[in-house]
Amino acid sequence: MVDVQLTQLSKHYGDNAGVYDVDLVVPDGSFVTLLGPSGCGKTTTLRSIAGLEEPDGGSIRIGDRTVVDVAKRVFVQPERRKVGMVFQSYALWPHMTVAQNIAYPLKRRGASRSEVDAEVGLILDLVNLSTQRDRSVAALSGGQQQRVALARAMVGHPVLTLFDEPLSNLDVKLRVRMRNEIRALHDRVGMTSVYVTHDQEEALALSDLVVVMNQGRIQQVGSPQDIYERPANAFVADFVGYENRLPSGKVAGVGKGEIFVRAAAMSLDELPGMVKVASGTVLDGTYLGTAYEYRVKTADGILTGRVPARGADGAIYATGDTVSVYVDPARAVVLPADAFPGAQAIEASDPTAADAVEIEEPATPRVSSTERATKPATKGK
Amino acid sequence: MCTDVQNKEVAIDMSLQRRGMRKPQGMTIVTWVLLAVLACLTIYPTITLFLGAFHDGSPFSPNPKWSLQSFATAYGSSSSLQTIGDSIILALVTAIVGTSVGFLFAWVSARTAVPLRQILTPVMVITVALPSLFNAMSWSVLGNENAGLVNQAWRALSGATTPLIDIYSWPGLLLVSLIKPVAVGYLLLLGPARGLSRTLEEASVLAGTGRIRTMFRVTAPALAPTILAVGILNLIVGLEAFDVPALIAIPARIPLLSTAIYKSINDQVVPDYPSASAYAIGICFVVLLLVWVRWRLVATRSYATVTGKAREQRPWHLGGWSWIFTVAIVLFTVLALLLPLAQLILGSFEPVFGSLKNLTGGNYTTVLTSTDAIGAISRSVFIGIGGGFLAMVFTLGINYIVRHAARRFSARLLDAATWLPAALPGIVLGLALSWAYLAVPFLRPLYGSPTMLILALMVAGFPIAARASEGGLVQIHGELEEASRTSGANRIGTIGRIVLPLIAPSFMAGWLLTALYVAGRLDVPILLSTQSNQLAIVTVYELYSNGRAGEAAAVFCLLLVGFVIMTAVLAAIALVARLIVGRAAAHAQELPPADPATRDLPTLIRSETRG
Repeated sequence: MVDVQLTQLSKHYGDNAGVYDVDLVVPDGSFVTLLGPSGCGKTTTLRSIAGLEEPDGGSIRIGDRTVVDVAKRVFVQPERRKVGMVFQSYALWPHMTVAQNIAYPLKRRGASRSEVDAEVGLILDLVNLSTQRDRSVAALSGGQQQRVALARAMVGHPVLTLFDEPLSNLDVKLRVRMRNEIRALHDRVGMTSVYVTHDQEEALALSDLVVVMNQGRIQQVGSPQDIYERPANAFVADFVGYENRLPSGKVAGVGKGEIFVRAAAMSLDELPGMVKVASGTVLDGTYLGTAYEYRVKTADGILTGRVPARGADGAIYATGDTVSVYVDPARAVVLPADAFPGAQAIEASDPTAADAVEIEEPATPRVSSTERATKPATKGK
Repeated sequence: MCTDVQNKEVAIDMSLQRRGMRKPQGMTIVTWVLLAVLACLTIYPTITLFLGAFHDGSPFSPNPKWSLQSFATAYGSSSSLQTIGDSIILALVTAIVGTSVGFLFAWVSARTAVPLRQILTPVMVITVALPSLFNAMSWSVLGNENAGLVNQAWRALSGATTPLIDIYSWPGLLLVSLIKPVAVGYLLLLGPARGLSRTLEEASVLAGTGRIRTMFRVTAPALAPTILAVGILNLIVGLEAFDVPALIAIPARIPLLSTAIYKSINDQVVPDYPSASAYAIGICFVVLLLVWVRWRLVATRSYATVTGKAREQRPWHLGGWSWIFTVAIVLFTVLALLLPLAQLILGSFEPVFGSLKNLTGGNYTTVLTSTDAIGAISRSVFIGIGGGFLAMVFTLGINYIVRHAARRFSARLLDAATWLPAALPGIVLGLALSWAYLAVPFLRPLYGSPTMLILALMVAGFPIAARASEGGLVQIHGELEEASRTSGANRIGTIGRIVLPLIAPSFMAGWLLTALYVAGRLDVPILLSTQSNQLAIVTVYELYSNGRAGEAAAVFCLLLVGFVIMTAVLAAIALVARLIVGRAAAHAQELPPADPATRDLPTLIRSETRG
């Protein structure tokens, strides 16, 4: 187990997809996740740690060994960094059996035959693949292939294990199970892990520390709770699902600055402890099972709030109904207006900005969007 | 942990780096070495060729006089304008018609339920693998005005006194010249035709368009960039073609550039190298232009409609059209393969050319006793296997570097250099190499030697070998190599343990393809091989041009046996390799299928022949 330190790490590409001045410390024995949209630089950062990319600025230290220092022209080849890596495609060699795949790193690092056999046996037990030992990897299921990839990355006790979106090819159910297995292995073996994903749920569930990245720069480093409840800027707030954005001063009792509220903390009914922030007309409603989610057109733009579902009775509000919108001040996040490194990004991806155009045609109520389980917003008594 | 060791490693790393041994620089050094070798093999001969055109006299002359006389001779007369015009007409017609017919067959094979479509791929593969001299020679006998089988059958059946076809004419030349472009077009367009999403066509049919019209209105336009790229390739091949023109255009008195080059050297008392070079430069220039256009076309990659997923697609039934296409398939098979093959085999037993009476094995006895036929055939097989192997190894190295250093200028240059031989017609390549070797005193002894022939044919095989090895490498996911690096293997170890075992099946298929291609080429060795070191294909040509058609056919039949042996030898090597690398070859086929649009020819053949 080692700590990892990135200092002013930079890698430039022609099309802005690089990494700029990344400073990061991965503590010894921790599970750190790099989270962000595609092209944010998280994979480039991970591959730079592995030695698969050559940075053009900054340095990387793994334990007490400097593996990259651009200024001093240090670049340690990937095969000499003693890291294990799990790839997005699993990258299992199809011409080798399960055992041969796993034995490969041991053999390359000069282990004796008996050591190899012992280690491979141990790790196969650990990932529950002892019975698959001599099968061809092509004959395995997706989950089993994933386990072989894990075993190969961890065999021989690398100082550091890297994961490049390893679960993105699995179906939802298997993904959750493998996620739990990965974390359990991390704890049992006691290793340092760096994990790349674009799935915030995965990041929150797995990590000791989440690093949110955008456009090649770190936006926030914090515990999963920090990231979820206390986003540092507008980009992070948007990325972790704060749907609503209100101008400064709209919610009484919170500090100065732009206000971000999740739909779950915004209601169309006045609940205890909530304050009214706006009124408007219902655009459409979506049935979520435990609640209805409504989009309301207000003077401050479109706001999304929820109302608990009441049995099987159908929707509570209909398109065009006049409603009031309430917010729980305790769950509102206030960000100083001038502290948004990712401000332009959110402008472009802001759903309310696009929708503002759409409501020019009131004749077509937006009731259905196929991704969501929807139901016409009819008033049911 | 073991910090001492780690510190030492850092120290070693740093000292290596100070000596400029960092990874990308290591790659760059290999790149430049390869470039230098390529330069000697392809660029240097090209330069001597250009210089030669401005010389006055032969490459031996110690005090060359510089002049533009050769260009005046080559391009200055009205007959030379006709030469250029005829070359362009031949190339254009064969490219347009050949590519269109090839595409139609590819469409039939990939997307319809036309009866007999299953035989298309084997027929086309064999057509491409057979030397062009095969069709040229067989057809010039088949279509002979008086004695040709076709005309004899025609007279017997119809009672007519005039022949059905005279092969020594424009229609005859076009007919024979079309066979290869159709097969090449078919094989290169089959993958893209398969990969095209059926939904595009179904949408068109639902909109009320018939299936045949859908093919013209939707399928063909959707694949237009690919078809155009293949068409330009056929145009280049058409401009460079030598074998068919040599046997048919010369007797038909149709002047063409490639035969003009050959004639300036072989039919003059004193070989007129400068004029030959001047003609060659003309072809080179046009071909380079076309290569560039094709490059641009392929680089834009307008394959948006071709999806990566080759789903199982239900073939279309075409109703009455089916029979028309079936007849077309049969007609092509008969004209391109069965008739010429029958003629060749029959001809090898005919004591008198064109006469079916008194068939004997006399021709075989003659060629086996009085000529060095067996020697020539074994040389051909050896040089095919050797040249093919070298070409594959060389281009595999180049493609590996191009793949791993994609953004480096030298890598691009390397990639371009593998295309250069494609820009040089075979006859020009032979000429350029003669210049190159004759001009340097210590290389002069190599002229005509097997070493030189292997080198020349290796260079001639570059374009096809490069595409084959490229296709093999593309199928290996980059992460398979990276996983090996992070597992502690260095670059060389990764190549040996991961890349080579996985690429082995593609490599073998590419090797066979290149070996057959190289051993069947007449245009390159015709100026290079000497009497003592003749290749079988040149023997065939010389026997035939000296009026000994029966003996030529006999040698050709023996050469075909040699090709079968060559295939068997390579299959045996593949088998041994498979035993050595264990399960590699077997399992590599379980790799995820590559994008059908980029699927390479060897893979295509492998998958076709497997099922």
